[in-house]
Amino acid sequence: MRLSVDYSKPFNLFCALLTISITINGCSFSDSSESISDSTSSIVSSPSSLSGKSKKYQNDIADYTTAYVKSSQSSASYDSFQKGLSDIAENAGVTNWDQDSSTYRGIGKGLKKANVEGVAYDTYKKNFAGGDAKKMDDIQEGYDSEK
Amino acid sequence: MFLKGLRALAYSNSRFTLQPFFIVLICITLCPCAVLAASFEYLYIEASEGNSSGGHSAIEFNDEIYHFQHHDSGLIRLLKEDKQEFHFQYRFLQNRRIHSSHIDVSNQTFTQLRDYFKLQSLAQKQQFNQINQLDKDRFLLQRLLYKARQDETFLDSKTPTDIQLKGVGLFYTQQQLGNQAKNPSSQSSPLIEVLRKKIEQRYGYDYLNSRSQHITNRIKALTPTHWPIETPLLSTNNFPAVINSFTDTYSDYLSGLIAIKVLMNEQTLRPDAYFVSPELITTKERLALGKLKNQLTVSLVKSVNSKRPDWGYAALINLARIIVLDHSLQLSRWVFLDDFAQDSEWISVDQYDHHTNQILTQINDAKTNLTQTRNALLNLDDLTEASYSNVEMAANRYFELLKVHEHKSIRYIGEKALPTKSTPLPDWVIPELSQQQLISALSELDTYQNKLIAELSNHYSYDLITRNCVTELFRTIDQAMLQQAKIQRNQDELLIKESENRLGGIISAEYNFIPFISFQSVQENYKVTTNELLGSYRDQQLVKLYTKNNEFIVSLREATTFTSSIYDYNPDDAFFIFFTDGNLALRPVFGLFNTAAGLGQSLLGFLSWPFDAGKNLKSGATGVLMSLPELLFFNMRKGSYKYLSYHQFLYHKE
Repeated sequence: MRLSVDYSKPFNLFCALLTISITINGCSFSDSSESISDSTSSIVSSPSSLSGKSKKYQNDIADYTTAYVKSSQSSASYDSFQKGLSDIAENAGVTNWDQDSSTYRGIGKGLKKANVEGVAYDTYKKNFAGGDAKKMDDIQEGYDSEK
Repeated sequence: MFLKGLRALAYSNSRFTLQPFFIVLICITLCPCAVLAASFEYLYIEASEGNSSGGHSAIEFNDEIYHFQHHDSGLIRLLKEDKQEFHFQYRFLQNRRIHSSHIDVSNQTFTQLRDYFKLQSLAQKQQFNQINQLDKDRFLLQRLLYKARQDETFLDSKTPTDIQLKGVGLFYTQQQLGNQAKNPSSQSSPLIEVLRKKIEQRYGYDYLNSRSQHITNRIKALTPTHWPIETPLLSTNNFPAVINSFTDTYSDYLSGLIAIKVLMNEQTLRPDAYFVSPELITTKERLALGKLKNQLTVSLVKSVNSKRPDWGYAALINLARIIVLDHSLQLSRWVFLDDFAQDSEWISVDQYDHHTNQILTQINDAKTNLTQTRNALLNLDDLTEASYSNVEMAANRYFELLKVHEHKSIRYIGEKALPTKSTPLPDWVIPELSQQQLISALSELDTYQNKLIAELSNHYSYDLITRNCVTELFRTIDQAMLQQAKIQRNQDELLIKESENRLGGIISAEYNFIPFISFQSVQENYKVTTNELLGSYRDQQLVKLYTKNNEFIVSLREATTFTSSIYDYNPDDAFFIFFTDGNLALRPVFGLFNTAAGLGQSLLGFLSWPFDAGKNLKSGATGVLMSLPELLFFNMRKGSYKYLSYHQFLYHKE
């Protein structure tokens, strides 16, 4: 349904004060202590297309990789990076993410988005793929696909 | 006239073939709008009873929506949501209208804003994750100290967190796991024996034994996390260090150990870990499931030798899925793992009894979803674990909902894309740490945790006026605008300049803490090209009724909760009589009745207090509070629809 609304009229002070009075509960509130660290439970069993889900999975991996690479902190460990990948994969229904080409293509996209180039890129590629040639090819494919 | 001039210019010399180039060039020069190739949406969600009763705000970039949510820890956090699920939640389940402003920006600005919001949400997720990691580390350290000293003073009652091993519950209960150390299971699975032999063929006969011994040694040598005491721990601009905590590492080792134990003892699946459906397997599905079983077997063999830290969990899920796929093929019926989380939300017969039609719609939609996902699985060229997970989820949903026909309580929310059935940590092998080491680690953890909580409060402490879902949205936009700025001085001037150039103007977070006021500010300051009012569920149903029936009669009938054909009383809503989202002139009158209804419920609640623990009284008081603004023409009472189907939202026609 699309309704036409005129937003040009200024809101008066009366309405503003009134709103303050009803903002007792304020913003959207989650009373689940679990959700602060991310609940993966869904209110819906989404019937969205599989190709859409696969693309979303790859994009989520790419975003996470970009963020991880950009952090560049000495205390960051590769084990924890992998645990982050596991979390994303778990939400996408993927257990064997380390054997899934989509994961490595996503990592490649993330490296490109983080503007990693040259020797640094080669090092990341080799480390993330664990030296596996096929996985490195997938990373390269993802890297090249990102403009 | 303008176009004529352009044509004349372009065609003035017939030898040139660059006419289109000139036209585009001149258009870009004369019309700066041409470079505004992207847009985002600012969303204002109308007020309603329940959470965010004063309204809510969010920002939408294509299929992603970002909004700030207030948590019971007293902190506010940026969350990323799927666009459709967000709209379903607010417009359908919570029945609120959403006002959407379309804001034109350049591609560069769009990318800058979207990427900044994305990075912030990931960074905050990581920061808030540390709270859970610290709680778990504390719990584990205290438990180890308790074991060392048998002194209950080390068991902190303030830390209720129990550490769970995901996937282990598919094979063992807590009690069985405890006994496993002494007595191996009497039942064995021939299929697991076959799988174990495949692993032994690949890696050697003694591989599992030696890996088990290696993990045991690693656990014994495990030391607590050294939490980095850097200043500051948090930064709003950086993704924080990802730390694999003491508990995470210990849990991963134990999961690996248990996966090996399942293989060695040929452990069967627990009876409550799976269910046999009445759905028969077709010939094509048999082929797909056979192929998938082979794929998972290959994955299992690889996973037991994987370097990923949580390979044990992966091996357990692979094992469990191979078993149910095998069952499916043997029985010629679909067998599925139970994928509901242990803390799933249950609804009782009393709760859904008044919403039978909506539940039946959900059952039909769940069946359609199951059929669709089963069909998708038949594409053998693109048969993936993820596509099987979709079928598993769809089946779990459908068969759980079917229990309604047997008048049973059902699990309504809590499905997971992967089965996670878990059990608490067993005490088989523990790190060999002295009491002094444990006490010292607890002390270090305390220092870090206090510092982290102080910094989190400093960055994210919720405040109704100064730091809420609206103010933080504008602050994040401001920070995104300054991302490219290299200079540290004159940030305010730069922010104004950048915001004006890129968005059309600047909106101060300090003066825009009320959702609908800030929405007005967006109209006045940003480059808003169009506005759209996205109707709530009730709006959409009313439009349908108006087109088919007499408008006056529909208006009368749908005005009250007693007579409405599209609203069944939902106990989540405080009792009210009139919907006030329609007639503006009559709103105060309706509000008066709703206030009186709230007072009545409060009075009744006062009397029933000893029997319902004050639930009715609280609901009545909420009703009064939510109805008072209606006396001043402000709409609050809309009603909510907890049991609507997601399909209804996805496939409705606006």
